[in-house]
Amino acid sequence: MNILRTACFVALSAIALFGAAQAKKPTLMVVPAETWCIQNGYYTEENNQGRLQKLVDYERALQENSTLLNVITKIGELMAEQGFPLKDMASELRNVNRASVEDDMTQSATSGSALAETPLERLSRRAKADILLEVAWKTQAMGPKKSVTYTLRGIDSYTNKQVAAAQGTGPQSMSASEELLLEEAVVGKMDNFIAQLQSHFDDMLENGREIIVRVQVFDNGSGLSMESEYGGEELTDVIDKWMNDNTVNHRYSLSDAGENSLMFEQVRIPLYKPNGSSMDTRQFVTQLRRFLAAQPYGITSKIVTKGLGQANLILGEK
Amino acid sequence: MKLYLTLAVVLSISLGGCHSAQKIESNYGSKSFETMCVSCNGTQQTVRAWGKGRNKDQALDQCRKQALRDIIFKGITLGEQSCNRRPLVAEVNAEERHRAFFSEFFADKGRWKKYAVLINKDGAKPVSKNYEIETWESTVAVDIAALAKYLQEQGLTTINY
Repeated sequence: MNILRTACFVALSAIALFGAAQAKKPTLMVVPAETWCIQNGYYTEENNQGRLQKLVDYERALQENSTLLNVITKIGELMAEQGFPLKDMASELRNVNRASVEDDMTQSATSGSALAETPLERLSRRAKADILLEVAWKTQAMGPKKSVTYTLRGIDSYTNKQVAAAQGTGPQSMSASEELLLEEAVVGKMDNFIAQLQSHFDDMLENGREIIVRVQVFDNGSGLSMESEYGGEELTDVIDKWMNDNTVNHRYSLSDAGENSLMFEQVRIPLYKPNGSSMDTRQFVTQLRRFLAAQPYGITSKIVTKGLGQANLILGEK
Repeated sequence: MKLYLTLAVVLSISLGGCHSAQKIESNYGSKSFETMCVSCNGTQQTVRAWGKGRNKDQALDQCRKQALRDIIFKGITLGEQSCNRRPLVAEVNAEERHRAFFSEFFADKGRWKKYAVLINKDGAKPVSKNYEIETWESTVAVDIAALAKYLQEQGLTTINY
């Protein structure tokens, strides 16, 4: 009986210890790569200031290509087995479509300037997945045998930076389906890919989430510019000091400073607000908006977000 | 005379190289030694933490301080999911902004001792020893309810337990 009790205790401890090694994981959403969609004809064309621009049509791709749905499901399963929470692309697309027209274009109520989002940015903003897994593949045939060459990229949905990658060609087979060939091709490089994803997320937990903040001035004849002075300090310096005080470990980069605009990149924002709730890009920039609205500045401004990781703060009007 | 001068030079060089044992603020937060959640019963969180010091007692004190630091400023994301994953003080750069308060709180005879106790000091394990620095790991019980209440009274957090 004692031996049994000891054996149970050891087994339970092993399970607890094994479970205790798990870290917090980023949420993922599997999406087809833009290049794959365009190569397979899933896009629309729009005239953008005289230039024909191709915009990916994710909805049509999912509706018309059953292999795509199976591939997304298969990659999702592989990641879920590793403990990553998943967002479903098809469900999120339905949420995007149900949203109001206001989500498509955002305009200043006063001057009418607009900030357009790509379909992927709109999807990212709604889904709020930490990382997008972009998958592209091509089936190659050599006689009766087929194999799949693939590229899998992990993209930080806030910065659109690549944080992990895997690519290769899987084993050949005469009878396996396309999604099974892809699974066999991907599985071999999964460990390294997951390690890259986790490393990026651990850095984010430690050093904050990276975003881009742009501060601009409405051209409405008010005389407000980045060189306007408040107590002997130019507005550029006031905003720069605020960034320094409110970014994690004072990490940010003022990459461009002009008379009417400032560009802050690699801005590291905390993951949580002081009350413990989650912080996102809009909430972070709202803090700056409130700071500038208060005395002695009294500057009215408007926030326009683009995707998950970029916000424009436009000073001078609502 | 020359002999005395040489001796004086040699002695002054030797004495200049000596110094009293430095007080080591010895937790450098090595990436591989992250505080890990063991269990949580609501008012108390039990974590596994690491600390460095010139001897076992110093290192175990640093274990307790590191456990508190991670709970207060970072949140515990490794191990069991039941521990508080958000930092208790979520204000950005909080330790720097309230440097005076936290320096006093984490001083050797500071208030931190009330909130973190070692579970089974004899069960603590040595991890490494480099020159004069020892690294130990131990299980630490943190009275998170009392800690949160104290930090609320100081106006540093609004998070309840």
